[in-house]
Amino acid sequence: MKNGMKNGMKNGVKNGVNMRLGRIGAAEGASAALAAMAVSGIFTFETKLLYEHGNSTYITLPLSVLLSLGIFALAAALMRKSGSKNLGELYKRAFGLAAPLFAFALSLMAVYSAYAPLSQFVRAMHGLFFDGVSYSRIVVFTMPAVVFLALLGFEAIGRTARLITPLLIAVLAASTAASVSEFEAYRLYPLPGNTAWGMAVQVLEETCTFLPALLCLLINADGLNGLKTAERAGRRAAAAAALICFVSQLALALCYTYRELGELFMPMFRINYLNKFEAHFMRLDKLAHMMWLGGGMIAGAYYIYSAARLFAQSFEIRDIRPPALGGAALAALMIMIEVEGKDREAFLALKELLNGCGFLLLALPVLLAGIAAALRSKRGLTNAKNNA
Amino acid sequence: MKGFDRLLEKLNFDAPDGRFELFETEAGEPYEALRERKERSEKAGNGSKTGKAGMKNAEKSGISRSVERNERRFRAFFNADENSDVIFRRVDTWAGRDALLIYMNGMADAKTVSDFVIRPLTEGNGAGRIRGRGALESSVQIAEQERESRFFKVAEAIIEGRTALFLDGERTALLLETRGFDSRSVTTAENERVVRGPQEGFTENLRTSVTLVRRIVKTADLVVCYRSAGGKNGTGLALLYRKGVANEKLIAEIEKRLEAGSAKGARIVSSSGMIEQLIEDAPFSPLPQTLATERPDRVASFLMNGAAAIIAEGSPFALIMPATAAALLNSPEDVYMRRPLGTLMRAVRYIGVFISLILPGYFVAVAMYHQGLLSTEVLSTLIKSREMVFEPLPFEMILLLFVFQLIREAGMRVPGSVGQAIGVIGGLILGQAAVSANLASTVILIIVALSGLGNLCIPDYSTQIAASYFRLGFVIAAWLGGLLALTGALVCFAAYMADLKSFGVPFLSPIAPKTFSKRPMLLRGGIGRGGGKGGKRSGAFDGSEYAEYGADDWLNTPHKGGKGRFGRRRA
Repeated sequence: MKNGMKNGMKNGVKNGVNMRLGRIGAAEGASAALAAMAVSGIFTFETKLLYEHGNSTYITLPLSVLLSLGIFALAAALMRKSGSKNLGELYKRAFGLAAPLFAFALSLMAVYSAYAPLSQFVRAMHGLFFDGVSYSRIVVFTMPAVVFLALLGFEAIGRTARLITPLLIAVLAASTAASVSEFEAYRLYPLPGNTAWGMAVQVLEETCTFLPALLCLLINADGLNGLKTAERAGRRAAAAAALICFVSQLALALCYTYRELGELFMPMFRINYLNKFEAHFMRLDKLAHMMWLGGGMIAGAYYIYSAARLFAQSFEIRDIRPPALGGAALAALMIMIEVEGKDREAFLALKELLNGCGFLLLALPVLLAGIAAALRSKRGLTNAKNNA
Repeated sequence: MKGFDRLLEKLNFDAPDGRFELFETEAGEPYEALRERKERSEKAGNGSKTGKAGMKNAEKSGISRSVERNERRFRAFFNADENSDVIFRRVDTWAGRDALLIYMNGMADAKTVSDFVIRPLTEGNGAGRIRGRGALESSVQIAEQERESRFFKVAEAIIEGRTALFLDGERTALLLETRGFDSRSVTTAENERVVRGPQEGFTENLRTSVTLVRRIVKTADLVVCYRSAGGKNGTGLALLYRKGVANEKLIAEIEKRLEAGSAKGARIVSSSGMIEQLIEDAPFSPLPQTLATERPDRVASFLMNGAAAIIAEGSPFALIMPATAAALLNSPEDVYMRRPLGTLMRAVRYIGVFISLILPGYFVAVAMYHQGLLSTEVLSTLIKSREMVFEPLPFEMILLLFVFQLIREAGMRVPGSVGQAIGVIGGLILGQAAVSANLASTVILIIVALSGLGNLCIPDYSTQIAASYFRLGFVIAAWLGGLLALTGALVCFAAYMADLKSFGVPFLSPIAPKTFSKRPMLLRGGIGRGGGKGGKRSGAFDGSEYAEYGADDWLNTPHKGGKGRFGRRRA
């Protein structure tokens, strides 16, 4: 410990901490958030629930992204007003002693957001690639990359995402383009696929799929050259995610009826089956899936790092490694409970609840914190003026 | 207890990251320090040969009558405090007047200067004491002489290797033809061959190597600092950079690391490879963080773009820093070919590298775990080729990769044509024999050969070796967990490269992080296309090397940027 302090002083850094935050730009931040939003927005849904009353996802999902962006922009504006450099600081200013509690809740939601796509990928791996292999072995091969990336830190995550996200988009574009010959407009029936109320509920519910990725940008805003860059990254990511969700869901809606979609697991993967041109040499559908798995790993690392950062900041832990390892372990545990656990049913019920109320859990504390912090700083300013 | 303390130290929660990094600028106004430095440089008039404002000021003022004043001005102009290549020699002439000689060490022939300039000036030429305007011409025994009164012209002549003679009270300098540098006794660049372009390479002689660079970079701002390499054997090295173009923080960091390297007290430092290990960011990384080259033209082009180079005594390799993945993967040949051909060659090389890294691992994963990915025809060919091979497929792959590496090593260590013969014959005979003995299948042999060829496309030797290690890692990952583990390994590999820095510059720039570099990296840039955003770059190396490098945003290039800070330690 002594040496650590000595190093800190030697480098001219007082109270040095090993947060592995680094500094990245808007392009890298947007790539990381986009990878997380795209993976969550395409692969995490329970199709049975999503397409139960008809398919309106090509309208509701982009709207959910836009709603998430609105909350993100509001939170960022409140952060600016209160002078907070990141979301953790905003919580501290707003909630005082109760801040760790709220931060812990948001950290858990971020870990949950990491778990959700990874669990889908593990299930897909088991069903489509390694059907004779236990789930635990698949988790053992999936999680180390997530942990490694999370431990490398925010800068490495952003830069890796910058490398891989364009490939993900290319794969998605290729899959969609290849299935154009199967498009049939009649499959869109019934239009708009859901009642207005049903659509509104869906928009709110699915917001918790997209909002965490944007909030993670605010958690790491100081690693993004400040709030302004974080906002820019968030806007870019949200715009691209809305477009991706719209295109992919519309392509699915044109390829399958809502009844068919309700029975499919990871329909975006199935869409690759529709084109046969690659069958002569090699099946590209599984390769596309591997690309998305890579995206899933980056998304998982992004969520876990952000959760760990917020947790470490709130509980004044001076190293990112313990909370990051803890977050990854928790995500792995949730995956195992879902796929093999004895309490699977209880867990699925909890998951359903979280999917339903996740929006409130995510949005309300952020908004309350923003308002409280803004009021406090306003009061502080008034006091300062009076004192002067 | 000590062990426990060490463990705590390893796991300590208080240690900051402490890595040096040069932050790129992101958006907004130009970084203040850069602007100030540029203005200061322009005011002082000690800009580069291409820094127009500085040169204009200097040119206007002309040569002074005072030798002291001339010395002071030329010292400032050539950054003489740091640049020990420029020799200032005061001479008490036989006539009793002060004289000053300025010449560039290595570019001018020291023996000529000593025998035919200094000696006649001090001892007289025996032709009688001629005074007045003709005294200089008649004393100095150099046939080709020229009077010059313009500062800029005199400086240019010194850079080219001529000697400038100033006499107290004269408003002109006498430019003496003393050029003489080593040429073509130097060897060819054996490891970085190009079809077109210069063939000469560095030699073990430090002075000759520096001169080879100076002959290409004829700018006044090229600084050469000589110092000890840090070993107890007293080997010297030269640090080269362009003052005002190279990022000052980068140069300070290199000097600091060289000092730290010296403090390690190595018994012997005898080559640039050893210096590299003393100063790089991550000594245990398989990937190199400096670019080792034996080509003066390559060093020159990187110097023109603001990089720094180290040339060590006794080593024919220069180290260029910072080194990015783009710099390590691109060949000097790209620059010398026409743009479409250069781009095509570059694209082929990148595909080769990709194949080299991925193909063996991918094949093992598909053949062992995901046979469904292959069509029936491909699968039946594979099964047929392997039906008599007794060892497991991954083992066969690793064995053949090892054999390929073995043949390569043997071919390299054996000199000349024998080495080439070992490569060809060893490959053919061993391959044929392995197939006949059912040790290897033809399909795997083809894959290993393709992968090996792709590996040899990498121009940098250290990167080739690093790629071999990573390739082996991918094969093992694919063996253990099929495409799932291979994907994980690839993500880890990408993340590792994204995290790596070379002297503070991200290894994967300008792709990740995306920088403001407008020039493409895969597609070769045009020659003379840029000129640099700060007007610092010029000449034939602009577009091409810029495109090759990709680290321009971290070097001294004022551009759209603002919030970044150059050269800070990470907290």
